[in-house]
Amino acid sequence: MIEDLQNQFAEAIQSAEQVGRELRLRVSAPRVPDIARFCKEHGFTYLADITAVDTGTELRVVYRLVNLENGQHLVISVPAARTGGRLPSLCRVFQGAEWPEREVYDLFGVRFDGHPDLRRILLTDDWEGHPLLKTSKT
Amino acid sequence: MNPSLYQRLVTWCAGWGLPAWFFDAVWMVAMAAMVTVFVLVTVLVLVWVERKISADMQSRVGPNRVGGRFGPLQTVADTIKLLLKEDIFPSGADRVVFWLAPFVVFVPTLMVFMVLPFSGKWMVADLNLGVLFVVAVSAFPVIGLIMAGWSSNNKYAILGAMRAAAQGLSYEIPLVLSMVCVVVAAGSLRLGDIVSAQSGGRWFILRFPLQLAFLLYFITAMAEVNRVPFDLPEAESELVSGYHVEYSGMRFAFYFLSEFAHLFFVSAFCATLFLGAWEGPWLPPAVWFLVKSYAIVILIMWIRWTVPRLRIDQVMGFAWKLLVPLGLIAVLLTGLMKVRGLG
Amino acid sequence: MTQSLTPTEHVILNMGPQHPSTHGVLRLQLELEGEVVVGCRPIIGYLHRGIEKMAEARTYPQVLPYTDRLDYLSSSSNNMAYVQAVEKLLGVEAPERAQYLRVISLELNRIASHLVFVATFANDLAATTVFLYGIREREMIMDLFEMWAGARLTQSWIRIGGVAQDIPDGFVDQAREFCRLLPKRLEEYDRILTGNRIFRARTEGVGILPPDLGLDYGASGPTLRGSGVAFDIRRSEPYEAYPALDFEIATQPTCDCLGRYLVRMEEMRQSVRIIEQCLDRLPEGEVTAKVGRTIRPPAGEAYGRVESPRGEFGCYVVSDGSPQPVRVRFRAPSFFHLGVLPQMVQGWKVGDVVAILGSIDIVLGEVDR
Repeated sequence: MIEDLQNQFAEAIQSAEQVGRELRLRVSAPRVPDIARFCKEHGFTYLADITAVDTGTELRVVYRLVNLENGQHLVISVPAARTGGRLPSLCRVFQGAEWPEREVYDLFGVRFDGHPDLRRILLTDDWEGHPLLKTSKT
Repeated sequence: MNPSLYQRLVTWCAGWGLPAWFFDAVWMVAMAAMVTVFVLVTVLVLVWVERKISADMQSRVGPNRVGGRFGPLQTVADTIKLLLKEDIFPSGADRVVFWLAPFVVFVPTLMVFMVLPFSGKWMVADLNLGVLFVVAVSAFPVIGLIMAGWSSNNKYAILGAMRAAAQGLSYEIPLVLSMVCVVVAAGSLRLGDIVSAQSGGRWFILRFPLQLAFLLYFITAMAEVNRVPFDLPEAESELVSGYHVEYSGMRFAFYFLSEFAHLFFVSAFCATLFLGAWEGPWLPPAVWFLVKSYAIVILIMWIRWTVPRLRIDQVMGFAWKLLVPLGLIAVLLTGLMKVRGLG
Repeated sequence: MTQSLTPTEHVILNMGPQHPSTHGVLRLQLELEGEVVVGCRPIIGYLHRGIEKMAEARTYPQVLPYTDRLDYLSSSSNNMAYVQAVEKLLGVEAPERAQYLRVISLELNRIASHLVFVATFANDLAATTVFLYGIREREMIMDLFEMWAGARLTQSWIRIGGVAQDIPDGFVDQAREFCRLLPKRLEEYDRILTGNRIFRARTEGVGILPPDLGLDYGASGPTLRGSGVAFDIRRSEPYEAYPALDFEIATQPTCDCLGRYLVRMEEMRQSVRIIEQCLDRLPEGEVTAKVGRTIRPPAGEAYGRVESPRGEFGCYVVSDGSPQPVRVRFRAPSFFHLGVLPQMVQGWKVGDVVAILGSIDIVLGEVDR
């Protein structure tokens, strides 16, 4: 499947690496829903997680899809801007993306275009700032 | 009571210059006070019994401090605590109705105790329409529940009130049908006559087809008292106390009291209708009456702590689709038996 | 749906955050038409403590006690996921004895958590007595935990490299005694609850979760296995001593509350089986590997994945070579289950909401972190 994936989305995939059971991809933002849909149709039907990592130098959103048949994990990292970062939402591909995307917005400030109800989920509605960014001090 | 005793007391009063009606008034007040005291003491005992039985069923101990090793005065302590609580009045609640509701629930519950035959001679009023009186007055507390739920200005309370209305109304019919069976078998609405019809050990529960009526009465009585599996109007785990969620302190105590008083009443009434009331060998009649009533109470408590709760539409379905037809069949069978001269 | 002639309004009812049946500080905004739920909006965050942010300012061993407080009803699973991720980064494997001990810990926690599930589920449906029976059984497990870890609930016994200390004398016997007793008690629950007509009427056919909807939402554990999907991380990606152990995956095809309940009941029996096998085969040896005083994993990322009593509990750790993690992310199963709850309660009644919420068995500690 990985060859088909690379053929079809060559311009979006920045890098691909197999580590154990994980296939780690770095992908650029606009094609994420299409890649996810492709993978879902090829057996990755289980949305394990959507989260984000701020390493200090870079902010990236991490998607994890799992193929329950063969136990393969697909870890898709998408770089995002630290302020005003926008990514297309995965809600039309996986309904369950709604809540984790809200959490990423809440804690990291990344907006998801096409999300039906993007608002804070863990913090109060009038909270200012996005705590899990490295620029935000506890 | 005894006519000659009555005459003598009236004459004695006249000796003091008091008219006969004065004595009647005092007598009525005294009777009311006695009934009230009896009910209060019974509730005290019943709450303790419930706590101890439930504890035993749940591998716990229950109250074991207040008043000795078995904690008999626990309820007294709890009542005092309730009386000392702040009287909270929810904002937006209808003052008059909110204040009135506990009384509408409590007073009818007390009133029906008047017709209970504690023994052949101990009965406050052996009304000709005993059973009808009970049915009529027992319907009032439901109105009180609805008043409580509505006036609280709280959605949980309203849900509880709606459920109380639905449940109370639906279970009224099979309840009355089961009583009709007993009335038909005894040939009279008067409780004294119903007890005499069972004299000599021929209790109604032993006579076919009144076992069906007993079963019906037992189930619908639990529904009328809002006990699990029919405790939807309260439904603690869904409605956080339902219709009395906004009540605290003394007002809440009224509901609590009414519930247990009503529980005792339906059990005692069951004993009267089906178990021969105060009939029994070598123990005094009043003691037998209490023993039989408490037996039914404990049975109801046993069920309460064992089974889960039904959902409101299941409760309604059960009443209308099963109990009402059964009730009608029971009445029919009883009528047939009566006509045939059997039973 | 029949057309109503009387105009009715929808009522918004707040269940929570203080409510006897929401299993924690959860707020469910229900839109009701009479008793029927036409909309449900879970509002969470009442228990948010910022654990993930705090973890970034702590060393790796210091993060461990925080993990206990996530899914506090089965703290070993949380410990295990985190430790698994860190051990992957370090390239360390715990000794065999530690692996078996860890499995015993995980399975005892599974039974304890499921007992709480049965107890609170029954309590929500007003079978109060079963609540106390479940808690009574759980006390025996708490005693075992106290023996080996000193703590009843938040054990932090599974450490990076192994376990904190070896089991004390008498533990094996007491554990075996428990394994002997529990199946009989489970039979009691079956008699009083599983076969009860009222219980079945409240749970059979209620709260359907179609399997593909569940997968879409990332549902896992008994919630998904109650819909017929045989997905169990102990089988698909076995860890610790699980590859050597013999047990069945419990599934039910019915997709309803009763199915999820039955799955958990069966899992308890299977856990007893696993614990007995571990006790039989417990090898001698060290209980912890050499990991050094400062844990400084090389730069990289790892995902530790554990079958907690609620489902897939994952811990995603990103390291940059320093003693403190760059990012620790806890993937909580209850978070995802709450996401699918609105679809599960649609069209059911208020009483059913309580049953459905109870059947997915959430813990707010891991939802909010």
